[in-house]
Amino acid sequence: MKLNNINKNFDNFEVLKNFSIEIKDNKTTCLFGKSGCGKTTLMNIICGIIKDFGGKINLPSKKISVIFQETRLLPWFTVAKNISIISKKYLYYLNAVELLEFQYYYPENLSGGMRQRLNIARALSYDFDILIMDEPFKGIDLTLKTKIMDFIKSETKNKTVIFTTHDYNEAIYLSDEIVYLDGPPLKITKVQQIK
Amino acid sequence: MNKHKLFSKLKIALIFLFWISIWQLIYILVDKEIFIVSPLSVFKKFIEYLRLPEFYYSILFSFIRIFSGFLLGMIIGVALAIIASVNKLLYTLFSPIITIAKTVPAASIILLVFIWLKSAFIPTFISFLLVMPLFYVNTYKGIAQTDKKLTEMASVFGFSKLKKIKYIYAPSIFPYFLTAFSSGFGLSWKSGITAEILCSPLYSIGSNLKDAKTYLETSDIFLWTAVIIILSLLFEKLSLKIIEKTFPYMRRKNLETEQYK
Repeated sequence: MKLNNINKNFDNFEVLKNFSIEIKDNKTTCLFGKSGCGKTTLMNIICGIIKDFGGKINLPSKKISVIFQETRLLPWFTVAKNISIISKKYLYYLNAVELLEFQYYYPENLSGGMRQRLNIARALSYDFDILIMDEPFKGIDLTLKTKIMDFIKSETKNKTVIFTTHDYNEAIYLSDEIVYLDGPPLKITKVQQIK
Repeated sequence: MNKHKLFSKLKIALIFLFWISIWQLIYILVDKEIFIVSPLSVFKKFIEYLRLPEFYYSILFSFIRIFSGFLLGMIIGVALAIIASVNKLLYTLFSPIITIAKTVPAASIILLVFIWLKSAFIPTFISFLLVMPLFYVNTYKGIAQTDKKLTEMASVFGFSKLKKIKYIYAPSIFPYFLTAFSSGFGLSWKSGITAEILCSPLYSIGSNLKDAKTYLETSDIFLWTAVIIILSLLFEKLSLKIIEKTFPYMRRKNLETEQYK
């Protein structure tokens, strides 16, 4: 996946200016940088949410799944229904993120961390080729975080994963490569190979 | 029945009793049957009317006229709102018509329509004309207020158009639709009966009210007014129950509107 000379402004504020990056196929790439540097904008461009930008994306026509930074759950449906409208294997994924016993709850009755786990389960349940994770572990407690990270690893073997974080431990644990970013406008400061 | 339900029913009964007592008190103070009748004489009149087939015919035909106008207004209002949300040009085109329909007094329209239509159709048309903009405005607002983040999520996960409508747009619009439904129901009864009073179609609550006024039958005016209130509330509650049973999940969340709490 290649992004060439990507430009994106919000009003007159330049978030991306001639930004280029190459993402390796079937590897996990971490975009590591401080909050507000433009990572989410870049993610939204890659997954097609932001359509009005300058530059070129060379993206193989594959199915993309996203773990959103804001959970974007359907508030009028139960936990189970939020995933079952995407995948028939919803019970397996709910079990993996330890939400099986809460399947009849509504998102409004879940804690922030539980909603985030549901967000993760939904994204993983989708039959994807590329997974985008934007700050995926926000609000998830430490004991569960490792378990969920291991589950993500097992579900994304031989798949392309791009994720953002500003937690160095998460970056090290999950990534094959860490791309250090700064901005805005977003720029690459360093690339570190982990595996 | 649990304690809470019992208490709530008791509270409603007490409120009802309070207002009936106020009515009785005013009746005693005024002491002139031509201005105000007692609750008891209205009740006696009601029992008397229950034996007359005309009473049921009037209710039935008024209901058919008004409810058909309400349904038509609902269907066309929702359909126009959907079309206007898709096409901004059509939204601009519909705007003056909706503004006129919202602001023109019902009596002016009734008098105008009186020239155009047979008297039996006027209540239906008036009810339609007053309810349609309500559904249009509320449905349009519901579509416009649909959370963009949810529609983006749906696009990422490859939802079809039908799936987006079913799982995102319909539940988002639903609270606004219910608001229009509740206020529209009362409005259609009020405007429909007003139209019946002015054009007196055969077998109608409106013409009964008009006759009662002509012959100074105050107890009949009170009785028919009570019938209108009871019917309007009854059918509104019944329709809302049917909607709730049909779309149970839609009652949940997106509950910013007080009514759905």
